[in-house]
Amino acid sequence: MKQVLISAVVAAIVSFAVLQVDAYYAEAPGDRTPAEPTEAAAPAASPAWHVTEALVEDGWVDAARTAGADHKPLAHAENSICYLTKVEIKGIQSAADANSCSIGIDDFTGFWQVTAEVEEGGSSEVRCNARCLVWGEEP
Amino acid sequence: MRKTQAIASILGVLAAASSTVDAHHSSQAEFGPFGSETIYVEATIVGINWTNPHISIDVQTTGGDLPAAENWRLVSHPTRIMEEYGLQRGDFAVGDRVKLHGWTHLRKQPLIWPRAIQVNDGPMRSNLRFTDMIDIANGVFEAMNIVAPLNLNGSPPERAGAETVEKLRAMGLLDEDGRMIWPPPEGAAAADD
Repeated sequence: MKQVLISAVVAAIVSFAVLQVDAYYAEAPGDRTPAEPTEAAAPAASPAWHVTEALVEDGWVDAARTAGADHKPLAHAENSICYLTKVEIKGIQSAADANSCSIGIDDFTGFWQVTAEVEEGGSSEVRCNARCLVWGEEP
Repeated sequence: MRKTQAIASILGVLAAASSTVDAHHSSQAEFGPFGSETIYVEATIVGINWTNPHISIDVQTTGGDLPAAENWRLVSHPTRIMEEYGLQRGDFAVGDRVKLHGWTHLRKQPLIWPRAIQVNDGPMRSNLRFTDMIDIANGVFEAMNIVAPLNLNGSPPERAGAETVEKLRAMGLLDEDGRMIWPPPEGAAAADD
């Protein structure tokens, strides 16, 4: 019960914060930057930030078929922050059936990427979802 | 207090709902239908990850439909399926030049699924048999100078779509079990178009 209450409170705080930030950016630019009249005169600006969607399986490995690491680029790290939103693991057969979800920046592409991995020898299934807060570009 | 709890609950539900997901994990969901338009790319291989569940090859573009000097990742089948296509790890090396036809990722990620790929001066080899089937049914495959994969012959064509299956059947390119026959047998009909 305590965990449910804590979860609800955390969700409420996060939601409230998101709504407040959204409301803040929804205001006319001039309302918050009175010193910049050119911005105030501009037509409706494009969204300052947005959150990407999560796919069913951004990263997905079904080791019953084939083990390994599935990497999925998410958004360019230059103007985003990404975070895991879901970790789903099924069919663990033993303590050695190691799997994971992780998120990091891929040096080659410059994108955040989410990685689902089941190590060789494992037979479980892991699905990882992620979303990104992206600023400065159209959704 | 009760009102606060109700608001917290509603916001909690909203927060949870915001992470619902609605897409599908398949090459078509990520790169478009098998029969959709491809782009042409020339590049140099800078890295190879011949691993499961999908192999990937990192390239830097040198020409074609993408600007030069960009980093892109070619993604494709699991290693076993690559080998069924006739494509081996040893066919690729860092520093090799590649030319390819492929699909870019629908969500603007730096990914390309190759429809066919040529290494150095080798043949342009197919990397997606269902697109081959569509192009064969439309009578354009042979003019593309793409080498059909090892697993085209005998493959069930259903994933290429009902229209393609009907055309291939009318062309005499399906056997009694409905599997692809390739190269075309003597007397097989050409596509109308």
